[in-house]
Amino acid sequence: MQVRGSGGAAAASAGPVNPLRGLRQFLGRNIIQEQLWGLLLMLPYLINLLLFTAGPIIAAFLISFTNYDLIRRPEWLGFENYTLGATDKQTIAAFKNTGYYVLWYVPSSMIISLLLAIGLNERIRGITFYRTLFFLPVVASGVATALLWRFIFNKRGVLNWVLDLFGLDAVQWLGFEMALNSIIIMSVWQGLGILMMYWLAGLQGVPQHLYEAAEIDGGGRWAKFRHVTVPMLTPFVLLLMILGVIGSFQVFTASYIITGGGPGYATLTLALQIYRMGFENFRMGYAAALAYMMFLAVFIVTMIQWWAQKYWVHYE
Amino acid sequence: MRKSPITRRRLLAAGFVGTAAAAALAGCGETQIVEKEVVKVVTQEVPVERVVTQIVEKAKVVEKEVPVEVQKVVTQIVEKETIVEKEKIVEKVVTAAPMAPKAVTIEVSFPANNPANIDYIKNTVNARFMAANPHITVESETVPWGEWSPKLRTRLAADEAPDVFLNDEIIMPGYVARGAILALDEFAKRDAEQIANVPMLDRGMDNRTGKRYGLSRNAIGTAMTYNARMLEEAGIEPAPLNSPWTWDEYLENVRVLTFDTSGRHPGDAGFDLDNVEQWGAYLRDNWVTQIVPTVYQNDGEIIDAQARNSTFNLAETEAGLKWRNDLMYVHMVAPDPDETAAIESGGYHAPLINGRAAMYEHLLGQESHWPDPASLDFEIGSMVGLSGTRPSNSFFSHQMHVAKSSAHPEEAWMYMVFQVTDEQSALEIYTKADYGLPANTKLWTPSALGARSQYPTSIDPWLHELDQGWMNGLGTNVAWVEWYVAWRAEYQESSFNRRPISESVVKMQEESQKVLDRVFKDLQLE
Repeated sequence: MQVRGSGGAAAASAGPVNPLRGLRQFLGRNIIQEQLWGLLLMLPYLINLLLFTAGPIIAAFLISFTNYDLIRRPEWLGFENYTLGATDKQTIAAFKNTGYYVLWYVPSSMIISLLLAIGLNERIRGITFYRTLFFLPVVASGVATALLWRFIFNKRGVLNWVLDLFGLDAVQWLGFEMALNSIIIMSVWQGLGILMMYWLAGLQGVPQHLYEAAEIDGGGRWAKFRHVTVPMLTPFVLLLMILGVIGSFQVFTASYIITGGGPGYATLTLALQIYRMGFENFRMGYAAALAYMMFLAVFIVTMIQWWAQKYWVHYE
Repeated sequence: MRKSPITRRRLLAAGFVGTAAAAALAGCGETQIVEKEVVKVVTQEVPVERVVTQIVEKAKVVEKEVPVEVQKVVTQIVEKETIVEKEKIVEKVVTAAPMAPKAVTIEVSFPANNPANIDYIKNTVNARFMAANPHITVESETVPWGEWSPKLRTRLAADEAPDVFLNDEIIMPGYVARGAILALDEFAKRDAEQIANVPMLDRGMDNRTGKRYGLSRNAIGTAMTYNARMLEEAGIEPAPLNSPWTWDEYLENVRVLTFDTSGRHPGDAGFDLDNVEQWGAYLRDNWVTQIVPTVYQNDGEIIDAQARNSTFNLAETEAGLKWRNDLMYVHMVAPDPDETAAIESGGYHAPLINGRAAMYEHLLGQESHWPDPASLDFEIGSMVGLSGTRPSNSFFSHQMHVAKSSAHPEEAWMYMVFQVTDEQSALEIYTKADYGLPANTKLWTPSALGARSQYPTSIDPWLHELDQGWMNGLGTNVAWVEWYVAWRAEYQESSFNRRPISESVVKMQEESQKVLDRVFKDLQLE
């Protein structure tokens, strides 16, 4: 019986063997095979990415330099659509409204959902029910909830009825001054559930020993929250801020359904303006330019957030 | 099992056999039918008698005048005739039955929100048309109004436009200017007699080019609707058909019809605007058909005849809009837009039904949205619109178009003509499919239109306004939607009472004109 590793006549006759060479060959062949398989399995996604994501992105970029109405051939305009976007009254109103929406929606939704998550992170009776309750708006149809809120904001709606109970004057919720705020209120309500889930995940990931250490140091509830919870949640804050900004730049359904962008241009948002220009006014080139302007705005804000994280985000 | 290899010889043989078979099959193609018929006539021998008189010369000897009797022989010849028929070939050319028209499938695409409408178009009208034209198959698609425009435009972009589609008349010029729809003049000229009862055909004319691009399918105009009980309680008689109320008469009446929870009317001491029980007038500022009637009633216009320039800066236009706004903020007989939204939360027809408003300029169309008369304990009546300096109201139509890219324009046109000339279909488009009055004026009689199951039960005011030419078509132009959004946004600044109408009309003119100028430049129309 040949003993493993002891060699043999055949092995001896083949001369000295470099064991690493065979291994390299074996591994090399396997790696190539693995890479090929990997590529093959990724192919459907790659095709999808190229055709339906990268393709339209590039096409939209090219279209943004043209006058294209979907029917006639595109006509090259250079930067005209971009200069128009910077001077057009409607688009300027849309940028202003969107900026206002981002500034109010992102912080208010994050703060309220965090408070909600802290409350629902406690061991209280019926916790699952409450969590489900707050998550419900997330799974409800955006259009349906927008219609519902249109009734709530009505001059004779629920909100004014409540104000009346407290002896307060009715508010023109959908008038020029308040319409955009009303849309922000609705959006915050709708977004609370999903943000709350993120916060809950974050809160439950804070190591318990940090709280214990803070307690030993004499920290009370507020001190623990201020010096343990908040720093440990900063990566979540960054994530939710970035997602929130990107998402709120794209606000569409609420203003489309509740106010149609009005009255006047009071609730005209960028996404709604892009839709109107592209699909109501035959101005695909201009709509594409606005989409790129929006992208640029989102990109700049996101880069600032990313850059600033080194000053306030704590990674364990 | 071993397979025999394919040798070159086998391959050639197979090729030869294949070619021969193909040739033989090709010979079996469609040919004219020439039938050779051998006609063999079989006859029976029939004896035919023929009398032949034989004339025989007779020597006549006259010697004496003694008569001599001469025997006369009369020979009767019976001729036996035998007809020997030769077989002769008679070539009989049998003409084949006329070639059936080539089978064609056309696609029609209409916007519609009402499910009954969708079913009706798909199941009834199309089936009727296909029965009348068996060689045409109609494939139809209905899209909710809200999604209609983007869908149609993306289909046009993809070069997959439906053969026939329906659109608001007001946006037709935009499609014409972009070359998306086919000019129908030749068809219309050829079938002029057939469509003679469609006077609204002119609504399918493009002002700029002077050509026809659409066939009207229906007419949608406004008339004044009212809650009959409220008028009766106030002792107010609706205006007769031939004599619309003037603005002053209207104002006087709606003032009586408006009162607060204490029963005080506008102008009375202590009238509480925040607690109005019933509004006499009701205005909407979110759709053009309800904004512009007062402009037309005051001899104003919103765009010039060439559809090139806005005309909001006309004194008549401004005065018409001012009068409208004054109903809300000076005379306080109509709710402001915020209150309007509250009143309307129960639906488009709610103001009349929920008892909050007495009178309302209303579109005829979307009949199924009206309540069943049996469900209300009061009547909803209708009367003609108002007269400032002239009786007038607003009006538009829906047009059927043939896509320029259609491969079957003839069949597409046939389909369109069928919809307006087949009386049953045209009528039911109105009574069942909620599209406003049928385009075919032959049907504009109460007997033809039949008893309505929904309000308003009498549509005479609408018919009367159309008959009298009191309906003012909305000014269309190549940039309609964008143009409308631009001036409406500026108008709302005054309809919400944020600035005087005099300032708003300056902005309305400026912003809407900018849109027109840019679009004319973009489309190189000048």
